[in-house]
Amino acid sequence: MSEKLYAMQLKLRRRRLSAIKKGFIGLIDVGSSKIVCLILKFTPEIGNHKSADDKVDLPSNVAFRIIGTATTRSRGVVFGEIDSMDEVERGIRTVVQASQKMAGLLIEDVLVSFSGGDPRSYGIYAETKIVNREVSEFDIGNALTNCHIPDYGSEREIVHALPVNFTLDDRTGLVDPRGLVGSELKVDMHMMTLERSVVRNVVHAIKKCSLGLSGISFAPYLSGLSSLTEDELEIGTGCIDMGGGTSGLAIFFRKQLIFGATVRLGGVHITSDIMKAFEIPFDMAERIKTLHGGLFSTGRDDRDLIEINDLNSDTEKERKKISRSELIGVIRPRVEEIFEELRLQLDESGFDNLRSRKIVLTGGVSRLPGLFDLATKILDCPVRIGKPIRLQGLPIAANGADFAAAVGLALNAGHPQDECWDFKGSKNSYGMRKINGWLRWISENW
Amino acid sequence: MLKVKQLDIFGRGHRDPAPSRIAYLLQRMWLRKVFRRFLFLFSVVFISFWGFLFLYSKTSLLTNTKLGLISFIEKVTSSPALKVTKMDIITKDPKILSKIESVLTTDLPVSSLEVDVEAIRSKVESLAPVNTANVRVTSSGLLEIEVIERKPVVVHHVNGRFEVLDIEGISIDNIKNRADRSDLPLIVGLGANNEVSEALMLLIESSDIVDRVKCLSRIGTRRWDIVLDQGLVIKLPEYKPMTAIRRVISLQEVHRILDRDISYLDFRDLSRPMIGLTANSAEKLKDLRAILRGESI
Repeated sequence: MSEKLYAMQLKLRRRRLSAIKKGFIGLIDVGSSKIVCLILKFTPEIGNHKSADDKVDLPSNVAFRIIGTATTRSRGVVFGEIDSMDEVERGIRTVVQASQKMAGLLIEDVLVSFSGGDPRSYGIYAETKIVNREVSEFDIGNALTNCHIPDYGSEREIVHALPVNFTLDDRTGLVDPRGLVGSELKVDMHMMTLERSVVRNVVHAIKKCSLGLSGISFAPYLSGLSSLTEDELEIGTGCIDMGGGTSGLAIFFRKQLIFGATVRLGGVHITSDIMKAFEIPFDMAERIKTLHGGLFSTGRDDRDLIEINDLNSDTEKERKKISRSELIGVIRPRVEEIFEELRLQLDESGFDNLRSRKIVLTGGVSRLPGLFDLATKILDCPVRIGKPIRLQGLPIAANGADFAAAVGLALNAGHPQDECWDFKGSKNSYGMRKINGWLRWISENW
Repeated sequence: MLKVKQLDIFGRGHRDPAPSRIAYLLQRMWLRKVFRRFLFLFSVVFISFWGFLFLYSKTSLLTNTKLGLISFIEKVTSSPALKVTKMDIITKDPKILSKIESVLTTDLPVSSLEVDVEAIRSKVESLAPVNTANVRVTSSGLLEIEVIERKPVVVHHVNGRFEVLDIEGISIDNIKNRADRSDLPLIVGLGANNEVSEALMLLIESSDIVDRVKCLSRIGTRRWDIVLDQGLVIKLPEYKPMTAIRRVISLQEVHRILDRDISYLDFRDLSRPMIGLTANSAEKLKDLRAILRGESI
């Protein structure tokens, strides 16, 4: 593990730790249809689970509470990627200001999630000899340093690198090998890269809002964290986050992300289909979709007429009525297309090899009636519509499936999973790093 | 990039919910506690500094305020409703009247705010013949001084002077001649002024013979002698002089002892009273005793 490789991630990690020490952190989910900002306040854990020196400096095992929430319609984001910097900046300013007002405090550090950037997953394998019989953090770091990083392209950036599985000698399936005794340690790591230009644009948008970025995450991964139950995470489940601009796929196994991908199709495309089909404005199409949308038409739907009141047409004649089955006829092909694309991604990931082939649908589009049946048919596996877990202090209005990524961001901030850069580095650079660490501490605290 | 302003159906510009960059940055700055504290301190220092500077630069403002205050006070004090025009001294003694008038130097008319009633009262009460004084300013602009005089009860003769005393032994007046106040009893001797009330009690007790009493004489600042006419002296003890006088009175009632030819009655020792004879009566007694013994004169 060279420092150069994860330079950005290491910088973000330091920021994140200092933000957690400060006690609160902002979470921004930049989606294609909306931008959400939550403010998370870490509270010292109630009860007897206090750390020995009674500080909240541990990234894990802390209780937290949402003290500020704001959401606004997103403009300038297409396929989960920033298209118009000005609009995104305005959107971020709006949500940050509103949530700051609600929380009554200033947020300086934010974690950001987004779903664009053509994610690619890599499985990486590494092995090392154990120095002192007992596996220490240092050994893990050493193994991760020695791992062979594939050529992922110069224009890509690593966002996640999670050690998925540890193998000690001939025993595999270990989650945390620290303290175990053995001679050889093998690590399976999952690495995810995104397009560098997309990441840089997000970083820049945050910087333009004079916020300090302290973490970047892949939105479907976070949706999975918030919507899947603990058992589902363990046994191997795919989470499909059906957002506005993209539909993301994240597959979990043994509580670890093992695959991530996106399909550049989402709810916005369904809406634009409706818009084009009935020649109505986008906003109205969106409204019709959310109120009357569906996937299976019955005989009754032919008689259910939806009145389209166009504000721009002022004569009676121009009033249109469409039947619900017409609407369904527009929506369904697009949803089928999305699922077929996802099916391809699932096949590519080797999802069929998992013992339990379960899919959890979340995100805004998952609220479409009849999605469950269609997904079961096309994906050919058991499907569940998931909702994120309740967070303390989060309004019910912001707790739907469309807020799954934001909730996951909060969960990940409160209980971060060990990324590979969380482990201490290799032997030869250890001392130097310690000195660097002191210097950094001095510069951060004075 | 050209920006086209979108108008809504009322012709208003489309309102963007996003805060402007300046508003956003200002709000973020405001949310910093350090900034708020600094702003508060700064504003306090700033305002107070310039405020002081302004006041000190405007000296005319200060003097004007001072002058205005003075003229206001003057206006109030000179208002006719608060003017004291007359002084009324309520007393029976014209002597006291003139004395008070000579003591009080207040020039009338004067504002009632400037009249120090307490000072006047203490001034009047410091006069010898005045026991207490009530001083008040009435609503009709009258300074009323009600004087309660000391009541003269005895004439005290000491060191060749005659002084009129009240019951507390305080000198009210000097007189040249005993005859000026022949209505008052006379007490004589050093320290007699301290026991005026006892002297009066003795006189009351000896009311039967009071028309014969010439004076009460204080002996050795210790005890009383009652001097009657014809030089008859009743010597009273230091303690319980009332008992002694009562016995004298009863002796007078029964034996008419004071009508006899004696020079003094000595009751200084109550258990052993004595009678002092005159030379004449002593001679007579001698003769009588000789007769009793059968001697011829």
